[in-house]
Amino acid sequence: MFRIDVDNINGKTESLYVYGDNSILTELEENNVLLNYSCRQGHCGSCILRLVKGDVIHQECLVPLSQGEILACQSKPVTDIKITAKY
Amino acid sequence: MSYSVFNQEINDTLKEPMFFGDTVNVARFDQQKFEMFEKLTEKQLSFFWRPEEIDVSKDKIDFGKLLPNEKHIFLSNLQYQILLDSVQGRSPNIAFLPIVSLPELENWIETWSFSETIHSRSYTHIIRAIVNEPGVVFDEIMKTEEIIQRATSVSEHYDKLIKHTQAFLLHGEGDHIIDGEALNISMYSLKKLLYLTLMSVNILEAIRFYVSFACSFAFAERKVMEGNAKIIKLIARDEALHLTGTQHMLNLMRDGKDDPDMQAIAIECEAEVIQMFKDATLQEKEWAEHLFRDGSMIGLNAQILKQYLEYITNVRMSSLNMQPIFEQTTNPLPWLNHWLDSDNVQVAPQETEITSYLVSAIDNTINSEDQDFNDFKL
Repeated sequence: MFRIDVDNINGKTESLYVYGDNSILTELEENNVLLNYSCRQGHCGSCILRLVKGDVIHQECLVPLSQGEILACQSKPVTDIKITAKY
Repeated sequence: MSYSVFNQEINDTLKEPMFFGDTVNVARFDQQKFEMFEKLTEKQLSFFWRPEEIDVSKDKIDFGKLLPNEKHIFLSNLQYQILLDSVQGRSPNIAFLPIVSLPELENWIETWSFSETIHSRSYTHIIRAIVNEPGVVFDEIMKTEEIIQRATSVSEHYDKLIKHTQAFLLHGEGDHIIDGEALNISMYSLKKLLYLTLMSVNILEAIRFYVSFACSFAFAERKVMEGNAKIIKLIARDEALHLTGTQHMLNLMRDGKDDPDMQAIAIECEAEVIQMFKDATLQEKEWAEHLFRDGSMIGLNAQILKQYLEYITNVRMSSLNMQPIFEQTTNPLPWLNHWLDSDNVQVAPQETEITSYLVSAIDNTINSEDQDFNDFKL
């Protein structure tokens, strides 16, 4: 299992334990951490997050991402990670 | 200004606004003012699919076993989807192409609208497979009052924009009497109509469609009508692209990254836009009552569908940087996301329908000269 440290996303700071089968967006939703999203397909960039620590596997997306940015809908953890809101 | 299909003025499309600048002349994609529309087009092209790739033969057996109220839900939902895609298969072309000014956006609009025609063809494919007389289902659409009401609400902004644009292209700005109706045409009023039309399209594709997807996938969650759900999954994949397109246009306008008038219009129209979202949710709630008038189905009823409607409306408004209008809740239909998320589950080809293996794989045409079945007897 991997640990996802959620650092102040929509007012929530907590740790989740996941198998890494689902996208980070799905994992957050299943743990009631509400995050903006829209397309769930990596096109719109609504669910952009900052990866503070750890690694994820990231599917292709249309959104230009800066260093350290990930789309929650397109990424799954492959190590323990820490994520926070973009701003 | 009358519309020319090849404007001979030399212009720099990198400096044009998205709409109401110079009309497009050379369809060039070596440079883009807004790269996103080029990416959307490429993605949409890579998604190309045909409904015949999906086997819906088992759906006929499933449909026959549905309860009468479930048949009403399934067919009415499909009829609503047919209406929405009938509108979307033509309207972006008619409404937006005469006023678009960027080649990459023009190309996106054409690709977007074309993909909607594939959706329309899919519904015929599904209906042919599940009922003996497909014509009855189609004929009913125009006779069902609840659907006609929906048609009015999804097409009125398009119609108004088209009428005013055509008056503008023929007669220019000013006061005109068209078919006995007085129209005051100004560039600002046209841009305002465009903004509201884009918003109504976003509501159509990002809210109305998603409510209908919930109904389609609710059947497949029970392992019935799975062929239909596979097709709707492909449609939902396309719609996720389309709603990104309108969101992107609206956000560029509101953020002042396109035409400064549009930024002013976005502020000016905020109350009207909020009302549009409220009206649409009200209309969809009435539709939910119509769908479930004879009873609910396992996993879905009018109440849950209405909760989802409020939830998805909040999500869509947040994506447009607007304050949600309903109480913030979690998704009342969490299973729906498994159908809407991009494919992230690896499966063996024999376990699922790998559509890329099936493109043009089957030739259904039979000629009298064909010798293959000469010995065949019933």
